[in-house]
Amino acid sequence: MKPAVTFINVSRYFGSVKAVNEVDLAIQEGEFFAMLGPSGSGKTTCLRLIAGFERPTGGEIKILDEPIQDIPPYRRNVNTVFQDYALFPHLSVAENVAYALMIRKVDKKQRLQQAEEALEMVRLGGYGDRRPSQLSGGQRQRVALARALIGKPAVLLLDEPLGALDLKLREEMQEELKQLQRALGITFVFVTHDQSEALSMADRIAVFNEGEIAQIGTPQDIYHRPETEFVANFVGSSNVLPAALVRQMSGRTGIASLRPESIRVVAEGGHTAIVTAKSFLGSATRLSLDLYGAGFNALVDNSFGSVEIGAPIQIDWDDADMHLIEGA
Amino acid sequence: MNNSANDRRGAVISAGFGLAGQISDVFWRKPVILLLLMLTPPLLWLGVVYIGSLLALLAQSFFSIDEFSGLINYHLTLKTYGELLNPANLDIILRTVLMAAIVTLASVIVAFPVAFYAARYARGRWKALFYLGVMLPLWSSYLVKIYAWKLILAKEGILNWFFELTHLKWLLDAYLAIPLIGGNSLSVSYTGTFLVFLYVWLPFMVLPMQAALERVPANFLEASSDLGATPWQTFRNVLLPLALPGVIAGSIFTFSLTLGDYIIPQIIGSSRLFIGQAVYSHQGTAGNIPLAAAFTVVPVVIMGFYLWMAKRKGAFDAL
Repeated sequence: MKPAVTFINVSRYFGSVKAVNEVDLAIQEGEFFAMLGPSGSGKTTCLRLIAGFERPTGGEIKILDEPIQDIPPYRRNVNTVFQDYALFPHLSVAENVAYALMIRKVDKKQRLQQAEEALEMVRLGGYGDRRPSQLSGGQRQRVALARALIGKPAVLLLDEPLGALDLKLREEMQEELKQLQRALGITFVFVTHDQSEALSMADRIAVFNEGEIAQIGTPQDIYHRPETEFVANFVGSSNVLPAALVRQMSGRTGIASLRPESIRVVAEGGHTAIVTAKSFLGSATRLSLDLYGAGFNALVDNSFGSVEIGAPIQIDWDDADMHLIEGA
Repeated sequence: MNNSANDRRGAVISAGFGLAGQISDVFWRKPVILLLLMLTPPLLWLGVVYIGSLLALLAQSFFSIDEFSGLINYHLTLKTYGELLNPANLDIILRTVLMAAIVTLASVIVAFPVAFYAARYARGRWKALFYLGVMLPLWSSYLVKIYAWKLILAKEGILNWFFELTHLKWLLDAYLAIPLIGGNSLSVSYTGTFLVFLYVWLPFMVLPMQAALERVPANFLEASSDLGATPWQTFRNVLLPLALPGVIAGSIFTFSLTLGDYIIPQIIGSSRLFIGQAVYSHQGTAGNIPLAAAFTVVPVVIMGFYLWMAKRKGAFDAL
């Protein structure tokens, strides 16, 4: 299997700002790949480099082993679903979906038929005659998807495609996107700042921080074995234990991450922590704890009973859940 | 008890705005009064004084003039409109409409790159410079500008001098030898009239166009190129349709201003009449108000037809 997208030492600077700094990356064919990071971390710039809206300051970008940094966007067999969908307001839904075919001069009857098929694929059959402004946010999102997929791209790029949807719709669309990707076998590259979205959808994740990739791996790797303090903090808001505490508790050296849900409330024999805040989340309760002077987050089930703010409680965890961060 | 209730009342409703405050309160409770107060003066001005006199003018066009006495005959007739159709008058109308159309087309072509640059790329200082550059000509007197152009285009003018200097005089002479658009010099040719019209009305095309282009989100252009469209195809299929309301707005200005102008063709050009000049001479020296009125109706009808066509072609769909 050859990589669908390869970055070799790619940089993109805007003046003195290093938006993307010497990134190496290989996205496999047929993969559902997520680029995760806070805003300004360079993930969207990477996506725009693949699409061709930006040109690299240095390095080489390949799509299916073909160097493409000198190829304009309209000649790349890559399509994008934009964050705010960018549907053309002066065209009907069907004309929007058929836009790529119209550009390629496919005859009108055939392209409208293909557009209808693409709309059926995203469960919007019969909506072709409407205007984008008459659709809901979720429907526009599907139209944008159909429009980007009709040209059968080698790679589909999605820029925070679910960001504008409400929670329930977002969960539905996550499932639908995954099914669609499996059915079509097209490489999806997906940019998001929402770690739960990345974890639930992607085959692999690249975590971006300040223009560089902090870690690439499967969702399980990223979640359970963060390689840097940034990844531990950003993904799942892990507790980062300072080196002194780690040595005191386990005798190992280095800092370590501990997931909030790994912490249990026990009757006795654990570590004594002071509750500084609590919030009820429905299925669980989030506690902010003060343990030996360090702030901790714990996500505990509701069976532990009631606890007062300012009161001490006993907490414990399995040593195996404490993941030592390498190179720290 | 009573006292403390009063105290609390003061805590809820703040007093002390005086008469102006009470007037504001009335407006807040009855917004219609404010609306009437604001709209009545302009409606009186526009509706009665302006539209009223326009209608009076329209009425005049249905009267006729007695050829012997030169007095106006107040019987409704279409005779004056019939006169519009005689070859000399039809010639004037055709010349004016053709000139207005060519000036409009040329201003679209010249204005687009300027407006596009200003809308897409110019920021801060460059944007200010753009507005200044476009508006500055509007601040100086229209007559001064036209006479300046006369000097530029005249046989003794700077353009002629430049062509001589570059040994390209033969090129200019060859151009001036072309019938219809040529002439003795640029300042007495239709080309001269066209150039000055184009210069004088260009800001009225640039500004609405720039406003329209500014409203086209940048990612529409990216989306189009992402879907395989070359820059030219993106221009044809996305940018132009979305900027069309601005182009139409600008063209209404350039077209109608050219249709009605009577000074430029009088100073620069072949001294053949345009509609504006015909109106001017008929209502002045000739005293033929009905024919002047009928001539005035022509641009109104043409503009009405133009807007109707533009609407049918979907020019305002993107609004």
